[in-house]
Amino acid sequence: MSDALIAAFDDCLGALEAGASLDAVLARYPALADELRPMLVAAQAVRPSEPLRVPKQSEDASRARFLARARVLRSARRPAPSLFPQLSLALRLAVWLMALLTAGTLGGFGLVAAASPSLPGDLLYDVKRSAEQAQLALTADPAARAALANQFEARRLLEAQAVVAQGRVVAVAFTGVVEQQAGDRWVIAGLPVSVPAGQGAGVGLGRRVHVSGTAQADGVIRADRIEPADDGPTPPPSPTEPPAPPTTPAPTPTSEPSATADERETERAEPSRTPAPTQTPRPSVSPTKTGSGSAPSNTPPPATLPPSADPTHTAAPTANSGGGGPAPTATPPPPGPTATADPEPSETEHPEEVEFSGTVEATGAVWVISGQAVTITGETEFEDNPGLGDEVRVKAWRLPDGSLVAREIDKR
Amino acid sequence: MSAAELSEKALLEQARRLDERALSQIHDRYYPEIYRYALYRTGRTEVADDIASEVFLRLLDALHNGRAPQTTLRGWLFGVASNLVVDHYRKAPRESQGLDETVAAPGSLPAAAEQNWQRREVRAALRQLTREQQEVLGLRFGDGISVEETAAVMGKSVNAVKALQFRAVEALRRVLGVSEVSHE
Repeated sequence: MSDALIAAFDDCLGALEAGASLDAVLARYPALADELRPMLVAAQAVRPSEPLRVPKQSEDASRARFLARARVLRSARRPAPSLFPQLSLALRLAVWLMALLTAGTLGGFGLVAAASPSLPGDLLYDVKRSAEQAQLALTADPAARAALANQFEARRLLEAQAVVAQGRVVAVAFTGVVEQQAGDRWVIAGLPVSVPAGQGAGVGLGRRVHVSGTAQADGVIRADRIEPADDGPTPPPSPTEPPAPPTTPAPTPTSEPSATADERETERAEPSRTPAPTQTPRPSVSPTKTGSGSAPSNTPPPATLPPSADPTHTAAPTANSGGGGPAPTATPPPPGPTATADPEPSETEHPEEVEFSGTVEATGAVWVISGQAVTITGETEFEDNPGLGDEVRVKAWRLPDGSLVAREIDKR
Repeated sequence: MSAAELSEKALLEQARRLDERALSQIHDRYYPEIYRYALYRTGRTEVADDIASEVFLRLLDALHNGRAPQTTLRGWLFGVASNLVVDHYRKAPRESQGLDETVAAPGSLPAAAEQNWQRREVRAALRQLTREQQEVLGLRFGDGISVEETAAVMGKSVNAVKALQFRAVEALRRVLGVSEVSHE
């Protein structure tokens, strides 16, 4: 294999690509023609005769997922609104006392607890929302408050899903990603939404939106308002603000975690995992942090294509690499400390960590795993791309109200 | 430093801040070639869909975690795509050897000989190449990018890419037994 032959081969390839005939290009190199001919025939055999087509639908879907995920990560970077650090302990105690009085007026803590599962339109729904506002007001730590806001946001979506499932006719408000658009019928965070003329103008697939409207008996939400929710997390209300009316809950941001492999999955040497990303966005609710299990690393990846290009990847020889050399292995950086705070709901109330196993019965902003509802946040880590019907192991926080926030869901 | 490089660096800088406009540009600019690359390497549109989409999600996570490419975004994206192709074959080694009837554009089905790259035996032969050989053919033939661009993506010299390309085709020629065909 001489340099001249290699150069001639490349030149001939270019000429063939430009439309020249095989004989014509070989005529350029009569001394090398016998060697070049079978090579060029082989090259023609494995080269597509026309540019490979890229389906627009695939590109659009990827783009929607990509940008929706970016919004989640952007939200995770944005510091949570800090409304209360300037408040003195005395003032916070005063706020807490006000909340106690409010709760007492309504019948005490028992009533608050009883209101937890209530849905829009229920008698106790006001109590539930008031308790949420008080809880937010009393949480000083920004990260904890953001996590709490996300939890409440997840509830709004869960409530909307519940009332739709029950066929209730009641006002709902939630935030979610636009997953489908077919005329005036959209799917937002998995919920069918009827969009009246004039609403949602300029909102495209993958866009996160606030939706307020009325759930109909046929399971479709008739939207009254659809507004882009690109401004990040909705700040928790100040302690002086009245709670939102129960029938028009204030929307808080909904976002979407990666529907794809956790990078850690490919870090494991055996067995390696094909990412098998799904084509269906998995709506979620928490913009607090990436769903990736990987932590920041100071080791930049090489910029070129060889196996080390993806720092998260553990390469191995291809399955049928008989004629070739082994593919070197890129060792990923070890996971390090995460960049953002754990989703503790407050400074004083540390959630209990729980683990359980079960079958995934529903996915979305809230997963149902063997009958247990678990809120998915941007912090939730997925391993092996669990989905409907999969047996999974769940690590979660149990918040003071008994609800679960998933930390990790591993396919078993 | 070329204008294109400057532009990519500027894009990267904005992308590190997860700027939506920059991210959109990155996706629009690179998705088609990442998709074509994955399609050529795997021969299956649905796998190419998944891999191309995953590449960009990996980019986001890398940007978010401070592990973003420092200079050559394009090379980084192709590198991740290549890793995902390897993962795909490792998970399903018998997949992606079959014909994918959906690859050719509807209404423009080329002659059978022109679809050779999709043939089962050709796909099997491609997979017998070294990883680098498969990568160079993916870039050169699947994406149709120049030797110079391929060299930049792979971090190799132009001459090294030409030699790698030659060896890849030579290996294919041996596996496919093209010599007899050449004299017909």
